[in-house]
Formats: sequence, C-alpha cells, structure tokens
Amino acid sequence: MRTEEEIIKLFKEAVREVDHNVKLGEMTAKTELSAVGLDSVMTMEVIGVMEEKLNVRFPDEDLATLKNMGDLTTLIRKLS
Amino acid sequence: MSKSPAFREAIYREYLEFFERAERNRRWNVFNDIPWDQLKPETYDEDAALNAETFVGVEMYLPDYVSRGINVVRETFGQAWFSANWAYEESKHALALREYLVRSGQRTKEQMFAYEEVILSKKWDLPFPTARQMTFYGAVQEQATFMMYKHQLELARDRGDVVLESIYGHVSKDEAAHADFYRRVTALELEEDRDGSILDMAHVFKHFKMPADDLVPDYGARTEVMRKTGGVDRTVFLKEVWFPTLKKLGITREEVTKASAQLRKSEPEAA
Repeated sequence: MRTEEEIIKLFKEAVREVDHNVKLGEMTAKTELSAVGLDSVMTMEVIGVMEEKLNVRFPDEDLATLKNMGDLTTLIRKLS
Repeated sequence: MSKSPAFREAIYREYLEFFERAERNRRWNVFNDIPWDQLKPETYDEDAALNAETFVGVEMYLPDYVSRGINVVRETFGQAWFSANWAYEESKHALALREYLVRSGQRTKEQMFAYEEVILSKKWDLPFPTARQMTFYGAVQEQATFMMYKHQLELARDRGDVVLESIYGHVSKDEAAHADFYRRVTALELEEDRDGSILDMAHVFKHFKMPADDLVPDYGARTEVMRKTGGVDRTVFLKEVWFPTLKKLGITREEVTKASAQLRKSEPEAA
C-alpha cells in the first residue's frame, strides 16, 4: 500500500508534468485540492497523469467528491 | 464562419422539435398556473427569499443576454429562433419570482425597483465570442441552473411553500429543456468538427462561471447562502453537470483534458 507521502510526491510530479509554473508548497492530507492553484480542467489533467502512472481509472463519481489530499489518498488505496 | 446547409437544416429540425414540445407540453402561465391563493407566511424563509431575489437579479440581465446572444447566432434560423423563445421563457422566470417576493410580502415593490435599478446600472457581456463556445456554455450553464432550481424546489416543498415549489417546478423544466437543446446543437457541432468542438469545450470549462456573477450586488454573500441551502458546489457541479454533460455528448474526460493541454501549449494566454 502506498504511503501518504508517496501519493503526495506522485501528485506533485503530476502537477509539474501538467504545468511546471504551478508553485507547490508543503502538502499534507488536509491540503485542499482547490488551494493548489489548479482550475477544474487542470485538476482533471493531473488526475489523468496519475491514472496513467498508477495504471488505475478513477470513477467519475469519486472524482466529484474529492476535496483534499486525504480523499485522494483514500481513493488511490481503494483502487490499488 | 458560415455553417453548411446540412448543419443549418439539422439545427432547424432540432428547433422545430424543441418548439413543438414546448408548445404542446411545457407552456405555463404566470397568472393561471401558479397557486397564488395558497401563499402562507408560516412557510417563508429569508434565505429562500434571498435566493429567489438572486435568481431575479441574474435573470434581470435579460436585455443584455438577448441583444448580445442572439446576434452571435443570427445567421442560423434554428439557433436565432431558439434564442427568441429562450428569452420569452426566461422572462417569465424573473417575473414569477419577482411577483412571488412582492405578493408574499417578503420584499416590497419599492425594494424590487431599487434592486432593478442597481442591477441594470451594469451591463452583461458575452463570456465567449463564438456561437459554438456560447452553445456549449449554454449546455453547461442551463444544466447548472436547472440543478440550482431543483434544489430550491425541494427546499420549498420541505417547508410547505407550494407557491414557490410550483414556480421552481415550472422554471426548472424550462431550464432542463434549454440545456437539452444546447446539448443537441453541441452534438451537431461535434459531428461537423469534433476536434475543434472539444477544444472549445475545454476552453469553456476552464473559464466557466455563472452569468452575472460579477454584476449582481453582494454576489459572493448570495452564493454562500445558496450553497448553504443546497446550491451547486464543486461536487454537485462535477457530478450532476460536468460529467453527465460529457457522457450525454459521448465525450470522455480524457478528450477534454487532452484538448486543455493542447490549448495551454499552443496559446498559454487563451487557454
């Protein structure tokens, strides 16, 4: 099972892959996805990169309810 | 860019079908079809009144929506006539909600005229410049508005406010029909030029905001009340507006995100 730190690292890599101009500070499970500085379409792009790296497919209904990094971690663990 | 005869004919058929259904099954009358004699003060709620007032405010930009919107599509009969019909239906929404607020005594006539003056001191402009972008914007925005009205309808029903429930019932049906028409035209656009249409969708999604959100006074505070009382937050927007719209159009989110990436790389500012 992936640790929270690993998932955060993966998320940061995916963000940089989508837009290397986004400045990412310290992130924890409580970090809101909306606070990362991505619009909704870019968030979906980041999710797409993560799906590719993890070889999983996040269901749309689960994506709609993601609020913070903790939710993303839970979802990835559920699907892995 | 002028449209092909086949495209114009297909849109004409869509409009004819939309209009026939509206005329046969969906028409409603502000004076006869709302149970005005059942207004009950014990069912009123200030948050609900504020939400109704916000909707009235947004709908009050109708002169701008019509004048700016119809000219984008004036060269295609089906879309131009749809715009005219859309304007008629939207005009009833503002009227019915405004009458509700005044007849129920939750707002005075004077307050509504003062509100009207503030609202109309500003002008709304098109959020997107092309007919295709505005059509897709319409598909998303009308679906989001439908969801908002539907939530307000449920709250009115829970409080026993049958007048407001009736109004939201009629207006939400109209909004759902408008969203459906815009989706059908978007589907035709996709048939004509799938890649270009998806690029436009990515652009619209990226810059999407509800109409008049920067014009209605205290919109931020009003949106908070709307959210608190069952409005459309990010979750509802994605779950009940964005993903279903893509699904109905047969588009995957991967296609949209790929287009978004393409836009960002080719035109960093425009994306």
